[in-house]
Amino acid sequence: MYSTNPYSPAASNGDPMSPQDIRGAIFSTTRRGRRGVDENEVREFCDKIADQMTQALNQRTALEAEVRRLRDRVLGVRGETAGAAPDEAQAQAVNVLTMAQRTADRYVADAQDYSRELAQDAHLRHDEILREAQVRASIILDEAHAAAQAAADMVPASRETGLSGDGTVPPGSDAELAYLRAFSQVCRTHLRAYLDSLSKSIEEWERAEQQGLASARTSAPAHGAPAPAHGAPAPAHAPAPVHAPAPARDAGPVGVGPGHAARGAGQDTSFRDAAGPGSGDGPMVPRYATGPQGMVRTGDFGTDVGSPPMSDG
Amino acid sequence: LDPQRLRESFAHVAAHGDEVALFFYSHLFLNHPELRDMFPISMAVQRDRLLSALGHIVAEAADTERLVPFLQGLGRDHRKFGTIAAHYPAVGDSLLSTLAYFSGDAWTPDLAQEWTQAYELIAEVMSNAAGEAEQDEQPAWWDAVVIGQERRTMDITVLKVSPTRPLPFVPGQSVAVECRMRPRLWRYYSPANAPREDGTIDFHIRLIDGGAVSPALARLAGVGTRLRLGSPVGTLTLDTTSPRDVLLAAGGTGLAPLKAIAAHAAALPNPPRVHLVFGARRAADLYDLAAVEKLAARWPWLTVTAVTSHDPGFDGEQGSVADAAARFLLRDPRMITHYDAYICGSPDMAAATAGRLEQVGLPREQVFTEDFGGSGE
Repeated sequence: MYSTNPYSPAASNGDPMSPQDIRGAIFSTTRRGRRGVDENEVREFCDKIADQMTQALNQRTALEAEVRRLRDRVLGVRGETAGAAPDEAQAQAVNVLTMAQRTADRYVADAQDYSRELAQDAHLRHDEILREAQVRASIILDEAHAAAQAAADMVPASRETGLSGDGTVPPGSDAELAYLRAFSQVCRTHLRAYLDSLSKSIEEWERAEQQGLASARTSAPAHGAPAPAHGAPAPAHAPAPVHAPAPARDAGPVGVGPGHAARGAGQDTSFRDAAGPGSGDGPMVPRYATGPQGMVRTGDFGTDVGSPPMSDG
Repeated sequence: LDPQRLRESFAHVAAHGDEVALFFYSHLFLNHPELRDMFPISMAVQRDRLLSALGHIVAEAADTERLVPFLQGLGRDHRKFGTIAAHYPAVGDSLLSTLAYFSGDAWTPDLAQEWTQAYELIAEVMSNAAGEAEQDEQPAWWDAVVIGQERRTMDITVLKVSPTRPLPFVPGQSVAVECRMRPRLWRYYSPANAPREDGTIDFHIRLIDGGAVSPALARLAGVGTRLRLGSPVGTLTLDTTSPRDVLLAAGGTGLAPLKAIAAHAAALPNPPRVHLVFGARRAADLYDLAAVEKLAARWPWLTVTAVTSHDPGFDGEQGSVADAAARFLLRDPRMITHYDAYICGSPDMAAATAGRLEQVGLPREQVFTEDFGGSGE
């Protein structure tokens, strides 16, 4: 320490000086024949420096105390209002973020629940419609067969090609002709009625959509238009100008439903596509196989018996 | 390390349930906001995963033979999320703080030390495995593009995708799929084919009502949609060393991995006899029956039974897949033990079918199943 050994400027090693060091500094004397400085002047000068340094150090100590006092006060104020140490502040921030995350999670979960309910409801109705259609189809068919049978029975039995012994209609006979004519007559009637009801449904759909659009314009679009299938307006419905070819993405041969129109550009329309609001696979017209032994193939909506576009292997 | 002590400590913390993972992620994101973007908006599924992974690690802490491969797989797998070595200490800090917070008075410097060491070990194994995968130039993920989209039913779509780099997999495995429409949400799907010359892959997507990802894949994805695929995982693959014949039991889109297994068999010099039972609720839901029947016409060793559970009008078999599979085995009771059975479908269907096959006499070790049916939603 400086206090034990007299300070020598020549031997100074860069340690910080104290005012005592300056006051007590010993300068080595010059060798004879060379000019030195006045020792008294040096001493006086050093005293002056030491005084100023003392002042500066005192000032620093006071300032440090002041900083400490202020810092304590600031922390004290924070502690009084929040009652929290820094560690706890971190825990609180974590809790705030946790709450925000939880809220976001709930919104997403609610939206998913809502869409799940909607979809499940749609599935149920889909099943119901299919079941009804199957029942109706078999009633129509029974009716057609009964009418056809009655017509065949009316054919005079005098002709040698009448009913065969077991009551069925032998092929190529007049009775068969009468049977087929009556059968197709009944089927045509039903088909016409069915088409009428289909076009009525489409009109209703369009009306609902327009109402939906109108209400969406006036009110907040919270739930969108009450359109039947997907609630989205279907741009594919807009009549295209006759001479302007429609853009490729809307030009698919089965682009009649909102499901189709809602999908993005660049679709490969060569693939089988969703068509209408009712079924996922084309118009819901049952396939009739004509003829006395005709069957309504009710089981195969949706099963693609054609060749799938994708190869396997 | 003291596995018993870690287990007890974790059990104490895990008793707080969802709170634990909530705290963990909030802590992590507060200290490293840049990491938030690596996660989806809704964190509910993520939290379950974190807790179950931690639980798994702690439960297996004593069994390094099993734990190390699990951690290595986890480390490699995390590359597809964009995880890098620098993330591990950040996660460690938040994990330790979380454990401390929920341990309360039980948290001693001693226990902290124990957990710190355990985490450092875990992080080391994971990041080493990731680093090795990096050095072997295994991709963290594969970019792919949809080149074919076919809606087979109201809620089943078949996507044909083409990865930009070859994606090697074993038929029956699955890969995680992420699509642009639902970023940071990955769902597992099985390729429905064996690896092809042109590298293309078919995915059978079933739309799950209210699901986050499957509706987007089933309805929004079209030709040109870009996907990311993770590395193949899973063990439901054909045992090519088995001398036995093969029974495949598929429920719905559970068909995908089993169709791939059939294609795998086709590539063998001596294919086993393979019988596929393909079941659905209604005939309309047998979305790929035409294709598998075509395969059966081409491969004489493959036979197919279609079965519906809710379609009295269907002219195939009636009942559950379990029913049809058991009927198939019982048609020749002496031959039951000569089969390996592979099952894929909903968890309920898989459990019911496995149970039924064991019940009719198929040894348990010849029944293979995997309990993710390709969704996780």
